[in-house]
Amino acid sequence: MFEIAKSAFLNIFRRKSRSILTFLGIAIGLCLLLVLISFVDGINNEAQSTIGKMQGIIVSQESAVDQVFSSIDEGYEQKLSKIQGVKEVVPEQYYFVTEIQNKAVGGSMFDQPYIYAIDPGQFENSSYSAFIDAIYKGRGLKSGDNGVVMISKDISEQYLKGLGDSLKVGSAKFEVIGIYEANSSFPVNAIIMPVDDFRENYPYKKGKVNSFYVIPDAGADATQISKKIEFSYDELKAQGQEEMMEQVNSLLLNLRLIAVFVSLISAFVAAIGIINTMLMSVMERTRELGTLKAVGWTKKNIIFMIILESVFLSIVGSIIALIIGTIISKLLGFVIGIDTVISLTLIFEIFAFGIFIGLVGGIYPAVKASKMDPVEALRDE
Amino acid sequence: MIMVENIIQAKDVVKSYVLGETTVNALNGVSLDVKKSQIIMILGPSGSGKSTLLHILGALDHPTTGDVYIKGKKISELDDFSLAVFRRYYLGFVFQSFNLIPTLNVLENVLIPTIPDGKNEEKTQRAISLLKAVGMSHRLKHKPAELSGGERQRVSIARALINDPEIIFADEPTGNLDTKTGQSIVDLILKLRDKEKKTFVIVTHDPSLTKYADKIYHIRDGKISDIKGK
Ligand SMILES: Nc1ncnc2c1ncn2[C@@H]1O[C@H](COP(=O)(O)OP(=O)(O)OP(=O)(O)O)[C@@H](O)[C@H]1O
Ligand SMILES: [Mg+2]
Repeated sequence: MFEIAKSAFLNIFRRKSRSILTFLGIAIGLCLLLVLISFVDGINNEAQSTIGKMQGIIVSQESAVDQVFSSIDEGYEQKLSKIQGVKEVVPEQYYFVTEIQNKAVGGSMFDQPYIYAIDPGQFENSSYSAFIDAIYKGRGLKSGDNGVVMISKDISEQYLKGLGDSLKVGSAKFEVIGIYEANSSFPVNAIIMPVDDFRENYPYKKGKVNSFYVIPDAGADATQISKKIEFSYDELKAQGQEEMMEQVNSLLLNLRLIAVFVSLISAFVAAIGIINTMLMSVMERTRELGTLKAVGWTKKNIIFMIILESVFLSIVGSIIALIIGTIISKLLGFVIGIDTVISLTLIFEIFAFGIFIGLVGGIYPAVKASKMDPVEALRDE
Repeated sequence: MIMVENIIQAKDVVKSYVLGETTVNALNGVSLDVKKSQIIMILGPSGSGKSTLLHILGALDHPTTGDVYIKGKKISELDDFSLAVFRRYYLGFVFQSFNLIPTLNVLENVLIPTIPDGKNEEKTQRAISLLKAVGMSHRLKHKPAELSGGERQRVSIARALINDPEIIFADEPTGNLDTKTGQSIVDLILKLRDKEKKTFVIVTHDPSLTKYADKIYHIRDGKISDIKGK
């Protein structure tokens, strides 16, 4: 068996260009799978860790797609604070910035910078731990702050503004007192400032805020508070850790399904590619396979050899997929800002999948090869 | 006790090929016996059915009708596996067109029949000494494409002998050889017959070979036309 395995192994080096095409056919499919899943896992990781730190509940307008577009009465602050188990209610305001340092900023909804305005005292006292954790230079907002902002590392790098520098946002100038590191839940493009500064310098709807950040008492059940809020006020949407997690999970599940679906299609294509290569190689070697039978190789010997050839091809394809996929995944992840995850399980899955494709793709050509009649095969010119 | 003296027996072998509307009878009722430790030669004009007969006698091909027995076993009753094992251990074949594997070197080609059993050092040594016997030991690492026709022929003779078969079938084994190497192959064949009781069935045109035959079958149009020897 070992010797046959060795023959099979050597055989794949005999038709180099076709073997390379087959490697690639398999590699592309598996590569796609690896990149997609590594992204899904990466997003999942970051989302879990940041949502995990979120103790509060985000209350926004029921019909709004995003907090940024939500608009609710300031008056809810009072009503929400009265709910049992609620420790604090922090009003939040968002505003898209059109000019920084006198230069127009553009971009889509996802990268256009925006102001996130809150009460600095509440920022300091409240459990904004997730944000506090993300600070990598300087400090967070404090009670009594004015004329100051916290900015993301991206903005700091883009406008070359460090701690103590002044940053012109729209027509007003602010001192940078903190820089935070962006990740999947802390946007790359936020400027965090005290709400008074915001109201002084930018237009806003009087008596309205975008959303409230509701912080429960220690030991209180956030889910129950969310439910209570939504039950009492139809026009509000309350999302706590659990709801966010659910939302993220269902999104990730969809992504994962898409990833698997896309990969299945490419695997199918890869399997057809491998069947094609193996069939051609079997046809080309008709005479040789006939000789093997004539000198006493059994059907099983030949089936074993051809299937192994196919599996070797797919293993090489898997290795290529692993290398190229990892590079693509990390590069793309770096560009997009997601720390993609290539887990051992994923590596194992890629190999198992690759070998499976090789096995399945090799069966038909192998059986065909084994049925070759020695004399017919020897007559083949 | 009856000794199976006839190591090969063919009874009324017919082989026909259907080509469109016409049927070609490559063999048209051939019966013959091959005794152990004899050299049998098959002679006949081109297209008379010599190769076809050799393939059928050597269990590579099935007759359309009629039966072939090798060592008392009816070939048509053997399953695929037994047939393969039979070919591997009892029968050696030297093909008219050699059928070496182009990507393997001389030594590897000789070892092909040993691969299913896992080749070992002993087999490799045997391959080298067989290649020495056919005068090819200086070309172990050469690929078939780098050899002359006569050299390829000698490699395929070594391959036929690697598993020490009892019966060797050879289709024009000296066809491409000069007198001197041809003679050395003849000497090898005679030695194997006399010392190791091997049986040979040889298709040939070569008059310098026919004088060593124990029995000669002439065939013409798929039929035995003449038998010489006992
Ligand atoms: N697969 C086949 N299909 C059709 N006809 C065949 C086939 N194999 C052999 N024949 C025919 O059978 C006849 C005998 O062929 P065979 O190869 O046995 O001749 P041969 O005596 O070995 O000739 P040579 O001396 O040229 O090798 C030929 O006429 C050939 O055309
Ligand atoms: Mg012939």
